Amino acid sequence: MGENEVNSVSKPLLTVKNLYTHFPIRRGIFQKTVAYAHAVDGVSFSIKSGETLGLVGESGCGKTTVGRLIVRLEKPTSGEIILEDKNIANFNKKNLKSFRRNVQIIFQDPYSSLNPRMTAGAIVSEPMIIHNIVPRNKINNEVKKLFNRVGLHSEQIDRYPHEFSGGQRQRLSIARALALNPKLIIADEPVSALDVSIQAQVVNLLMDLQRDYQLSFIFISHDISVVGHISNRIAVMYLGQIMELAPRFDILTEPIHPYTESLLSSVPIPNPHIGRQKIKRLKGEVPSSINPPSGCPFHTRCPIAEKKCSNEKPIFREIKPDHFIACHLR
Amino acid sequence: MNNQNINQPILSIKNLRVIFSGEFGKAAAIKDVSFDLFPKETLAVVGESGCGKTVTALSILRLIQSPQGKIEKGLIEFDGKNILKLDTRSLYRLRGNKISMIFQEPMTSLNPVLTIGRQLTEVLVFHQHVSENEAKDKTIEMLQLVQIPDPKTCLHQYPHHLSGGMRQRIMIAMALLCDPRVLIADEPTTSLDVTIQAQILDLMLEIQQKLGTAIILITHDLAVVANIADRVVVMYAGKIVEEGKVKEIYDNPRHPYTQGLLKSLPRLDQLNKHNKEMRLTEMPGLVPSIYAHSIGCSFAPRCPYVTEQCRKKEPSFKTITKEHRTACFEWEKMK
Repeated sequence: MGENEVNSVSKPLLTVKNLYTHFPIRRGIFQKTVAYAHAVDGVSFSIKSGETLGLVGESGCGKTTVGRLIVRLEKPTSGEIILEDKNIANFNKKNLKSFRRNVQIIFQDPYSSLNPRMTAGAIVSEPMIIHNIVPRNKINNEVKKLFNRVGLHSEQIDRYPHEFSGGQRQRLSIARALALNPKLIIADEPVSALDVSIQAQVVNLLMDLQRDYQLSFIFISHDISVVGHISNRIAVMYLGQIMELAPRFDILTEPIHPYTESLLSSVPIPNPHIGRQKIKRLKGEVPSSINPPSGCPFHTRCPIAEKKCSNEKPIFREIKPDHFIACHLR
Repeated sequence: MNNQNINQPILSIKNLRVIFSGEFGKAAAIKDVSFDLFPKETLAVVGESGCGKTVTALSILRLIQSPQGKIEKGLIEFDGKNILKLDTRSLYRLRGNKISMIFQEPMTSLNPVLTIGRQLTEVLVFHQHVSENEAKDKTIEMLQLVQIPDPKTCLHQYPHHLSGGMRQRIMIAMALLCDPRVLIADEPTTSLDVTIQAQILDLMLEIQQKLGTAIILITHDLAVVANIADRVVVMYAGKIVEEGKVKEIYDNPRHPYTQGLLKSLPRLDQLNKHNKEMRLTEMPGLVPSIYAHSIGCSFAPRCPYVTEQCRKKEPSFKTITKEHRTACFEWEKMK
C-alpha cells in the first residue's frame, strides 16, 4: 500500500478540530489557580484508516498531550475529537469504555507502563476480560496468538515484566494494545528508550501490524528520522500548535515553515560525507507555555519574523494540496 | 604543554580489563580494550547499552566503583604516566584538570544544594589555586563561551532553575574551566532535543578548535558520530570489534556488528517518495549479559556471516589499512 492509496480513502477515521487544553497551575495553601499552561492551543487534523500520522516537535510542544487527549486520558478544555461520527471530547465514563476498544496507546517507558505484579499473560488478557470480547475459555488461546504475532514466545506468558528486556517489554505493550483489535493506536515515543538494533525490530513490527490489520497510527516522537521512516504524513508542533502538516516526503525534502526548516537542519544525518548543516541553526530554547508569545508562537526565535508576526496569530491554511502551514510570510 | 606532538597519543589504553563482582559472581565488563587518543582529535566510542562504553570512560578517571568493580589488568597512559598507578592526591589533581568528563545525566550530575557559581569557582580554586574573585571572572568568561545568556545572574542560581540544555552547558563549562587536554563526553546530548543537541555539539567543536582539547565522545547515536567524529571505536560485549577513520567505518564497515548498526538506522538522506514500505534491517537477538560465558566470537549468535570457526575461536584484530582494524574472521566477505 503506497501513500497514494491511503490518500484515496476518503472518509477520515479520526478528526480533531480546534483542540485546546489549558492546564491550571495552582499555588498556595488554597491551591488557587494562578495561571494556565497552554499545552495544546488550537490543534486540528484528521487521520485516515490505515494511515500513520507522525507528530514531532521539541519537548514541551504538546505532542504527548495531544496523544493523551485522543485516548481521553485528559479532558480537552474545548474542541472536538470525532471518531467515526461521534464526538468523544465530552464522553462520560460509560461511553468512554466502549470507545477505548477502538483507540489504544503505547507508552514511551516500557519499564513503568507495565504492572510489575502481573504476569505477561495477565497484562495482555486484562483488556479482553474488561471489555468481555473473548469467551473466558478462549482467552489463553488468544493471548498465545498475540504473543506470537508480536514476536514473543508463548512460554513467556507466565513471566513477569522484569524478566523481559526493554525491546520485549515494548512488544508486550504492543500486544496489550492489540488485544482489543483497535482501529487507532497512539504510539507515544515507543522506541525512544530502545537501542538502535532493537528500535529497528520494533519499528518493523509496527509497520507489519499496520499492514496486516489496517491500523491507523499516531506516532509521536522527537526522533525525526524514525518518524520520517514510518509516517505517511507528518505534523510539526511548536508550543501547542501545529506549524506545518504535510505528506512525509514533502515536509522532509521541501519544508515551507521556517520552524520546520530549522528543526530539520538540526537533525544529524548518519553520513560522514555530508558534514554538519549549520545554516539554519535555531538559537535559544522553547519559550514557556505558561506565557506563550503573542501572535505567532515562533516569532521570538524565527529568523525571518516581521512586526506582523508578533501581533497577529497566523491562520493554519492549505498552501498546496495536502500541505498546511501556519505562517504569515510563506 | 604546547609542544605536544600530534603523532604521539595523548592518552593510550592498553589491554584494559575491568571486572565486577556481584550476586551472580565475577564478570568482566571490559574484557580487552586498547586504543589511543591523539591530540585535537574527536574519537567516538559507539555501541549499544551494556557494551562497556561508560565503564571504559570511568576507568580512565579511575571512577569505577570499588570494591565491586576492579581494574584487573591493563595500562592507561596519560602524559607518559600510568593513571592506574597514581595515588589519590595525584588523581585529584588530574581529574577535572587535565582530564575532565561530561556525564550522561545533566539533571543529576550537578549538586542541587549549591549555586552554579559555587560549583564552578570551586574547580578553579582547587586546581589552579586562584583567588575567589579571579575564579569568578574566569567562570563568567567560560559561561559566555558556552552561551549562557546572562552569566552573572546564572552564578547565583541553583541547578533546578535551569533547563536541561542549560544544565548541560554548565556541565561543559565546568569540564572546560581548567583547559583540559582530554575531555570525555559520555552521551552528552542523549536526553536533549535535536535543536539543543545541535547547539551543544557546535559548542564542543568550537571549544575544541579554540583550546585544542582531545575529545572522547561516548554515544550510541551513529548520526551524531558521523557528524563530528574523526575516528570511531566500535565496542561490543566489552571488546573493541572495529576501529577506524569515520569515513572508512561508514563507507566500508568490516565487522558485521558495525554493519548491522548502520543498516538498522532510518535514513532521512535516502528518502524517496515511495519507500514507505522500506524495512529497516534488524539485528536479531540482544547484547549478551556480562555474566554470559562465551567461547569464540561474542557476536557469533547474532551474526549473519557466522561460521564454525567463529563459534570455537575468538577472532583477533586484522589490520585492513593502516588505520582500520577489525576483529572478524569473515571481514573479506563484507562488501
